[in-house]
Amino acid sequence: MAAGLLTVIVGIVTQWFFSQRQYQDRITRLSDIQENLRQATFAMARELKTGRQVIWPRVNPDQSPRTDSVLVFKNFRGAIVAFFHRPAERKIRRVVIPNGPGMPVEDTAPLGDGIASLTFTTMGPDNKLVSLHLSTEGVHHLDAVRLVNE
Amino acid sequence: MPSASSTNNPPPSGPRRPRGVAMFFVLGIVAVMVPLLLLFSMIGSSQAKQAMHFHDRITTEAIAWSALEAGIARLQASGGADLVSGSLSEVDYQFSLNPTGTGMASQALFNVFARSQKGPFTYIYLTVCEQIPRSPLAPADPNPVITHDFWGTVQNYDITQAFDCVAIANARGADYLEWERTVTYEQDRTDAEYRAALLGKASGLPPEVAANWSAIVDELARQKAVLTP
Repeated sequence: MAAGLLTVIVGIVTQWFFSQRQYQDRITRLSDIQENLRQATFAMARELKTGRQVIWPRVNPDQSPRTDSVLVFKNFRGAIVAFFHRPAERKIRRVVIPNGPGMPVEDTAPLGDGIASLTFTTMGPDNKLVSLHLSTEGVHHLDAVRLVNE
Repeated sequence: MPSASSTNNPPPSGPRRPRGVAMFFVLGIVAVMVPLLLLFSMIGSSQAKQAMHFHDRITTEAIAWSALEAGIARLQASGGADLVSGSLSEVDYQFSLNPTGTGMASQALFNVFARSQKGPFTYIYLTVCEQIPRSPLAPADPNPVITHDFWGTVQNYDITQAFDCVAIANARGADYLEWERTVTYEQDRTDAEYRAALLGKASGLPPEVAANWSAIVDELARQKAVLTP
Protein backbone atom coordinates (compact mmCIF):
# COMPACT_ATOMS: atom_id res chain seq x y z
CA MET A 1 0.00 0.00 0.00
CA ALA A 2 2.86 2.32 0.92
CA ALA A 3 4.53 1.58 -2.41
CA GLY A 4 1.30 2.36 -4.23
CA LEU A 5 0.86 5.68 -2.44
CA LEU A 6 4.49 6.53 -3.06
CA THR A 7 4.07 5.81 -6.76
CA VAL A 8 1.03 8.08 -6.95
CA ILE A 9 2.85 10.89 -5.12
CA VAL A 10 5.98 10.52 -7.22
CA GLY A 11 3.82 10.55 -10.34
CA ILE A 12 2.02 13.73 -9.31
CA VAL A 13 5.23 15.45 -8.28
CA THR A 14 6.99 14.41 -11.49
CA GLN A 15 4.16 15.71 -13.62
CA TRP A 16 4.10 18.95 -11.65
CA PHE A 17 7.85 19.25 -11.96
CA PHE A 18 7.88 18.78 -15.72
CA SER A 19 5.00 21.20 -16.25
CA GLN A 20 6.82 23.76 -14.09
CA ARG A 21 10.01 23.15 -16.01
CA GLN A 22 8.28 23.73 -19.33
CA TYR A 23 6.72 26.91 -17.97
CA GLN A 24 10.06 28.04 -16.58
CA ASP A 25 11.77 27.31 -19.90
CA ARG A 26 9.21 29.42 -21.72
CA ILE A 27 9.56 32.32 -19.30
CA THR A 28 13.35 32.08 -19.38
CA ARG A 29 13.34 32.00 -23.18
CA LEU A 30 11.18 35.13 -23.42
CA SER A 31 13.26 36.84 -20.78
CA ASP A 32 16.47 35.96 -22.63
CA ILE A 33 15.08 37.39 -25.86
CA GLN A 34 14.04 40.59 -24.11
CA GLU A 35 17.45 40.93 -22.47
CA ASN A 36 19.14 40.25 -25.77
CA LEU A 37 17.13 42.98 -27.49
CA ARG A 38 17.84 45.41 -24.66
CA GLN A 39 21.53 44.57 -24.70
CA ALA A 40 21.76 45.21 -28.44
CA THR A 41 19.91 48.51 -28.03
CA PHE A 42 22.21 49.48 -25.18
CA ALA A 43 25.32 48.71 -27.26
CA MET A 44 24.08 50.96 -30.08
CA ALA A 45 22.70 53.73 -27.89
CA ARG A 46 25.95 54.27 -26.00
CA GLU A 47 27.82 55.46 -29.08
CA LEU A 48 24.84 56.97 -30.82
CA LYS A 49 23.85 59.18 -27.88
CA THR A 50 27.10 61.16 -27.94
CA GLY A 51 27.21 61.20 -31.74
CA ARG A 52 27.13 64.36 -33.82
CA GLN A 53 25.11 63.87 -37.01
CA VAL A 54 22.85 61.21 -38.45
CA ILE A 55 23.78 60.79 -42.08
CA TRP A 56 21.42 57.99 -43.09
CA PRO A 57 18.45 57.69 -43.16
CA ARG A 58 17.30 61.28 -43.53
CA VAL A 59 13.83 62.51 -42.79
CA ASN A 60 11.73 62.95 -45.91
CA PRO A 61 11.49 66.38 -47.58
CA ASP A 62 8.09 66.88 -45.93
CA GLN A 63 9.78 66.22 -42.52
CA SER A 64 8.03 62.87 -42.13
CA PRO A 65 10.02 60.06 -40.46
CA ARG A 66 12.02 57.69 -42.57
CA THR A 67 12.98 54.09 -41.82
CA ASP A 68 15.88 51.93 -42.92
CA SER A 69 17.78 48.85 -41.73
CA VAL A 70 21.07 50.78 -41.97
CA LEU A 71 22.04 53.70 -39.74
CA VAL A 72 25.03 55.87 -40.64
CA PHE A 73 26.18 58.62 -38.29
CA LYS A 74 29.23 60.59 -37.20
CA ASN A 75 30.33 59.68 -33.69
CA PHE A 76 31.92 61.97 -31.08
CA ARG A 77 35.34 61.58 -32.73
CA GLY A 78 33.98 62.47 -36.16
CA ALA A 79 34.36 58.96 -37.58
CA ILE A 80 31.61 57.66 -39.85
CA VAL A 81 29.95 54.68 -38.18
CA ALA A 82 27.32 52.38 -39.66
CA PHE A 83 25.06 50.02 -37.73
CA PHE A 84 23.22 47.53 -39.89
CA HIS A 85 21.27 44.31 -39.64
CA ARG A 86 22.37 41.16 -41.42
CA PRO A 87 19.20 39.02 -41.63
CA ALA A 88 20.91 35.82 -42.77
CA GLU A 89 23.10 35.82 -39.65
CA ARG A 90 20.46 37.45 -37.42
CA LYS A 91 23.19 39.81 -36.22
CA ILE A 92 23.66 43.55 -35.83
CA ARG A 93 27.04 44.62 -37.14
CA ARG A 94 29.08 47.82 -36.79
CA VAL A 95 31.49 49.17 -39.36
CA VAL A 96 33.75 52.20 -38.93
CA ILE A 97 34.47 54.19 -42.08
CA PRO A 98 37.43 56.51 -41.44
CA ASN A 99 36.60 60.14 -42.12
CA GLY A 100 40.06 60.49 -43.62
CA PRO A 101 42.57 58.09 -45.10
CA GLY A 102 41.92 54.38 -44.60
CA MET A 103 39.43 51.72 -45.53
CA PRO A 104 36.31 50.64 -43.63
CA VAL A 105 36.79 48.18 -40.77
CA GLU A 106 33.95 45.94 -39.63
CA ASP A 107 33.96 44.92 -35.97
CA THR A 108 34.65 41.24 -35.45
CA ALA A 109 32.14 40.96 -32.61
CA PRO A 110 28.51 41.78 -33.45
CA LEU A 111 26.61 44.43 -31.51
CA GLY A 112 23.71 42.01 -31.21
CA ASP A 113 23.13 38.35 -31.96
CA GLY A 114 19.93 36.41 -32.53
CA ILE A 115 17.99 39.47 -33.72
CA ALA A 116 15.38 38.74 -36.40
CA SER A 117 14.72 42.32 -37.49
CA LEU A 118 15.99 45.82 -36.84
CA THR A 119 14.87 49.16 -38.19
CA PHE A 120 16.08 52.68 -37.58
CA THR A 121 13.62 55.54 -37.95
CA THR A 122 14.86 59.11 -37.99
CA MET A 123 12.55 61.93 -37.11
CA GLY A 124 12.52 65.56 -36.12
CA PRO A 125 13.49 68.61 -38.16
CA ASP A 126 17.16 68.23 -37.23
CA ASN A 127 17.22 64.49 -38.02
CA LYS A 128 18.72 63.78 -34.61
CA LEU A 129 16.09 61.57 -33.05
CA VAL A 130 16.49 57.91 -33.91
CA SER A 131 13.90 55.30 -33.03
CA LEU A 132 15.18 51.73 -32.79
CA HIS A 133 12.83 48.81 -33.30
CA LEU A 134 14.12 45.28 -32.74
CA SER A 135 12.17 42.05 -32.78
CA THR A 136 12.75 38.33 -32.38
CA GLU A 137 10.21 35.52 -32.21
CA GLY A 138 7.30 37.85 -31.64
CA VAL A 139 9.05 39.84 -28.91
CA HIS A 140 9.42 43.52 -29.79
CA HIS A 141 11.64 46.18 -28.29
CA LEU A 142 11.30 49.86 -29.08
CA ASP A 143 13.64 52.59 -27.91
CA ALA A 144 14.68 56.05 -29.02
CA VAL A 145 17.99 57.88 -28.83
CA ARG A 146 18.64 61.55 -29.36
CA LEU A 147 22.07 62.69 -30.49
CA VAL A 148 23.19 65.35 -28.05
CA ASN A 149 26.29 66.74 -29.72
CA GLU A 150 26.67 69.08 -32.66
CA MET B 1 13.80 -28.97 24.11
CA PRO B 2 14.47 -26.01 21.90
CA SER B 3 16.95 -26.41 19.09
CA ALA B 4 20.16 -24.38 18.93
CA SER B 5 19.00 -22.41 15.91
CA SER B 6 15.77 -21.29 17.55
CA THR B 7 17.74 -20.30 20.65
CA ASN B 8 20.05 -18.02 18.58
CA ASN B 9 17.20 -16.14 16.80
CA PRO B 10 17.05 -12.52 18.02
CA PRO B 11 13.86 -11.44 19.65
CA PRO B 12 11.39 -9.57 17.42
CA SER B 13 12.44 -5.90 17.28
CA GLY B 14 8.93 -4.52 17.27
CA PRO B 15 6.19 -4.15 14.72
CA ARG B 16 7.42 -3.79 11.08
CA ARG B 17 4.62 -1.32 10.17
CA PRO B 18 6.27 1.87 11.66
CA ARG B 19 9.48 1.16 9.75
CA GLY B 20 7.55 0.95 6.47
CA VAL B 21 5.73 4.21 7.18
CA ALA B 22 9.02 5.93 8.03
CA MET B 23 10.56 4.73 4.78
CA PHE B 24 7.48 5.91 2.92
CA PHE B 25 7.82 9.40 4.38
CA VAL B 26 11.54 9.58 3.74
CA LEU B 27 11.15 8.53 0.13
CA GLY B 28 8.20 10.88 -0.28
CA ILE B 29 10.18 13.82 1.06
CA VAL B 30 13.09 12.97 -1.22
CA ALA B 31 10.71 12.71 -4.18
CA VAL B 32 9.37 16.19 -3.44
CA MET B 33 12.60 17.92 -2.44
CA VAL B 34 14.82 16.81 -5.31
CA PRO B 35 12.64 18.34 -8.06
CA LEU B 36 12.19 21.46 -5.95
CA LEU B 37 15.93 21.86 -5.53
CA LEU B 38 16.40 21.36 -9.27
CA LEU B 39 13.74 23.97 -9.98
CA PHE B 40 15.32 26.50 -7.63
CA SER B 41 18.73 25.87 -9.12
CA MET B 42 17.27 26.57 -12.57
CA ILE B 43 15.76 29.84 -11.38
CA GLY B 44 19.12 30.88 -10.00
CA SER B 45 20.91 29.80 -13.14
CA SER B 46 23.66 31.75 -14.80
CA GLN B 47 21.20 33.09 -17.36
CA ALA B 48 19.20 34.81 -14.66
CA LYS B 49 22.42 36.16 -13.15
CA GLN B 50 23.50 37.52 -16.52
CA ALA B 51 20.16 39.25 -16.93
CA MET B 52 20.55 40.92 -13.53
CA HIS B 53 24.14 41.82 -14.38
CA PHE B 54 23.00 43.63 -17.50
CA HIS B 55 20.04 45.21 -15.72
CA ASP B 56 22.47 46.75 -13.22
CA ARG B 57 24.57 48.16 -16.05
CA ILE B 58 21.62 49.85 -17.71
CA THR B 59 20.32 51.19 -14.41
CA THR B 60 23.71 52.60 -13.51
CA GLU B 61 24.11 54.31 -16.86
CA ALA B 62 20.60 55.76 -16.78
CA ILE B 63 21.16 57.18 -13.30
CA ALA B 64 24.48 58.74 -14.34
CA TRP B 65 22.70 60.46 -17.21
CA SER B 66 19.93 61.62 -14.86
CA ALA B 67 22.58 63.03 -12.52
CA LEU B 68 24.06 64.98 -15.43
CA GLU B 69 20.65 66.46 -16.22
CA ALA B 70 20.22 67.29 -12.52
CA GLY B 71 23.52 69.18 -12.68
CA ILE B 72 22.36 71.16 -15.71
CA ALA B 73 19.06 71.92 -13.94
CA ARG B 74 21.07 73.20 -10.95
CA LEU B 75 22.80 75.70 -13.26
CA GLN B 76 19.45 76.81 -14.66
CA ALA B 77 18.42 77.53 -11.09
CA SER B 78 21.41 79.88 -10.58
CA GLY B 79 23.61 77.22 -9.02
CA GLY B 80 27.36 77.68 -8.96
CA ALA B 81 30.28 75.46 -8.04
CA ASP B 82 28.83 72.47 -6.24
CA LEU B 83 29.22 68.79 -5.48
CA VAL B 84 26.08 66.75 -4.87
CA SER B 85 25.90 63.13 -3.78
CA GLY B 86 22.83 60.98 -3.47
CA SER B 87 21.32 57.66 -4.32
CA LEU B 88 18.48 56.60 -6.53
CA SER B 89 17.07 53.07 -6.59
CA GLU B 90 19.94 52.05 -4.29
CA VAL B 91 22.47 53.29 -6.85
CA ASP B 92 24.91 55.98 -5.72
CA TYR B 93 25.37 59.03 -7.90
CA GLN B 94 27.26 62.30 -7.79
CA PHE B 95 27.37 65.39 -9.92
CA SER B 96 29.95 68.12 -9.78
CA LEU B 97 29.73 71.65 -11.19
CA ASN B 98 33.26 72.85 -11.86
CA PRO B 99 33.63 76.48 -12.99
CA THR B 100 36.18 76.92 -15.76
CA GLY B 101 35.95 80.66 -16.37
CA THR B 102 33.87 83.32 -18.05
CA GLY B 103 32.93 83.44 -21.71
CA MET B 104 33.10 86.33 -24.14
CA ALA B 105 29.45 87.21 -23.48
CA SER B 106 30.05 87.23 -19.71
CA GLN B 107 28.46 83.82 -19.40
CA ALA B 108 29.82 81.49 -16.71
CA LEU B 109 31.47 78.35 -18.07
CA PHE B 110 31.28 75.03 -16.27
CA ASN B 111 32.43 71.48 -16.71
CA VAL B 112 29.59 69.35 -15.38
CA PHE B 113 30.60 65.85 -14.29
CA ALA B 114 28.14 63.12 -13.35
CA ARG B 115 29.00 59.71 -11.98
CA SER B 116 27.03 56.67 -11.00
CA GLN B 117 28.27 53.40 -9.57
CA LYS B 118 26.74 50.07 -8.66
CA GLY B 119 28.97 47.11 -7.95
CA PRO B 120 31.65 46.88 -10.63
CA PHE B 121 29.88 49.30 -12.99
CA THR B 122 30.85 52.93 -13.20
CA TYR B 123 29.53 55.48 -15.67
CA ILE B 124 30.79 59.03 -15.92
CA TYR B 125 29.52 61.80 -18.17
CA LEU B 126 31.01 65.18 -18.83
CA THR B 127 29.50 68.12 -20.62
CA VAL B 128 30.39 71.77 -21.04
CA CYS B 129 27.75 74.25 -19.91
CA GLU B 130 27.47 77.97 -20.53
CA GLN B 131 25.31 79.62 -17.90
CA ILE B 132 23.85 82.88 -19.16
CA PRO B 133 22.46 85.24 -16.52
CA ARG B 134 18.69 85.57 -16.65
CA SER B 135 17.17 88.81 -17.81
CA PRO B 136 16.51 91.29 -14.98
CA LEU B 137 13.12 91.85 -16.61
CA ALA B 138 12.16 88.22 -15.94
CA PRO B 139 13.68 87.33 -12.57
CA ALA B 140 11.51 84.22 -12.22
CA ASP B 141 12.82 82.65 -15.42
CA PRO B 142 15.59 80.06 -15.26
CA ASN B 143 19.07 80.95 -16.44
CA PRO B 144 19.49 79.92 -20.05
CA VAL B 145 22.09 77.14 -20.16
CA ILE B 146 23.78 76.05 -23.37
CA THR B 147 25.21 72.54 -23.24
CA HIS B 148 27.64 71.00 -25.66
CA ASP B 149 30.23 68.25 -26.06
CA PHE B 150 28.60 65.49 -24.09
CA TRP B 151 31.12 62.70 -23.46
CA GLY B 152 31.07 59.51 -21.46
CA THR B 153 33.44 56.91 -20.07
CA VAL B 154 33.25 53.69 -18.10
CA GLN B 155 36.66 54.27 -16.52
CA ASN B 156 36.52 54.54 -12.75
CA TYR B 157 37.43 58.13 -11.86
CA ASP B 158 36.65 59.98 -8.65
CA ILE B 159 34.90 63.18 -9.68
CA THR B 160 35.31 64.65 -6.21
CA GLN B 161 39.05 64.91 -6.87
CA ALA B 162 40.37 67.76 -9.02
CA PHE B 163 43.14 65.52 -10.36
CA ASP B 164 40.64 62.97 -11.68
CA CYS B 165 38.46 65.70 -13.17
CA VAL B 166 41.45 66.95 -15.13
CA ALA B 167 42.18 63.38 -16.27
CA ILE B 168 38.58 63.02 -17.49
CA ALA B 169 38.78 66.34 -19.33
CA ASN B 170 42.05 65.24 -20.92
CA ALA B 171 40.59 61.92 -22.06
CA ARG B 172 37.66 63.80 -23.56
CA GLY B 173 40.17 66.19 -25.11
CA ALA B 174 41.92 63.34 -26.94
CA ASP B 175 38.62 62.42 -28.61
CA TYR B 176 37.94 66.08 -29.23
CA LEU B 177 41.29 66.47 -31.04
CA GLU B 178 40.46 63.46 -33.20
CA TRP B 179 37.18 65.13 -34.10
CA GLU B 180 39.03 68.34 -35.00
CA ARG B 181 41.33 66.29 -37.22
CA THR B 182 38.34 64.97 -39.19
CA VAL B 183 36.89 68.47 -39.47
CA THR B 184 40.22 69.75 -40.80
CA TYR B 185 40.34 66.84 -43.25
CA GLU B 186 36.92 67.82 -44.57
CA GLN B 187 37.78 71.52 -44.74
CA ASP B 188 41.01 70.88 -46.64
CA ARG B 189 39.21 69.07 -49.47
CA THR B 190 36.93 70.33 -52.15
CA ASP B 191 33.52 68.73 -52.50
CA ALA B 192 34.74 66.69 -55.46
CA GLU B 193 37.87 65.49 -53.63
CA TYR B 194 35.92 64.58 -50.52
CA ARG B 195 33.27 62.78 -52.52
CA ALA B 196 35.90 60.88 -54.54
CA ALA B 197 37.74 59.82 -51.37
CA LEU B 198 34.53 58.48 -49.84
CA LEU B 199 33.41 56.73 -53.04
CA GLY B 200 36.82 55.04 -53.09
CA LYS B 201 35.95 53.28 -49.84
CA ALA B 202 32.94 51.52 -51.37
CA SER B 203 34.91 48.38 -52.16
CA GLY B 204 35.64 47.84 -48.46
CA LEU B 205 32.06 48.26 -47.30
CA PRO B 206 29.71 45.46 -46.33
CA PRO B 207 27.00 44.96 -48.99
CA GLU B 208 24.26 46.25 -46.68
CA VAL B 209 25.94 49.67 -46.49
CA ALA B 210 27.37 49.63 -50.02
CA ALA B 211 23.84 49.36 -51.47
CA ASN B 212 23.07 52.97 -50.48
CA TRP B 213 26.62 54.30 -50.35
CA SER B 214 26.20 56.74 -53.24
CA ALA B 215 23.25 58.43 -51.51
CA ILE B 216 25.12 58.36 -48.19
CA VAL B 217 28.13 60.04 -49.81
CA ASP B 218 25.82 62.72 -51.22
CA GLU B 219 24.65 63.46 -47.69
CA LEU B 220 28.18 63.36 -46.25
CA ALA B 221 29.33 65.80 -48.92
CA ARG B 222 26.35 68.06 -48.18
CA GLN B 223 27.30 68.12 -44.49
CA LYS B 224 31.01 68.47 -45.13
CA ALA B 225 32.70 71.04 -42.92
CA VAL B 226 33.78 74.14 -44.80
CA LEU B 227 36.05 76.96 -43.78
CA THR B 228 34.00 80.02 -43.01
CA PRO B 229 35.57 83.25 -44.29
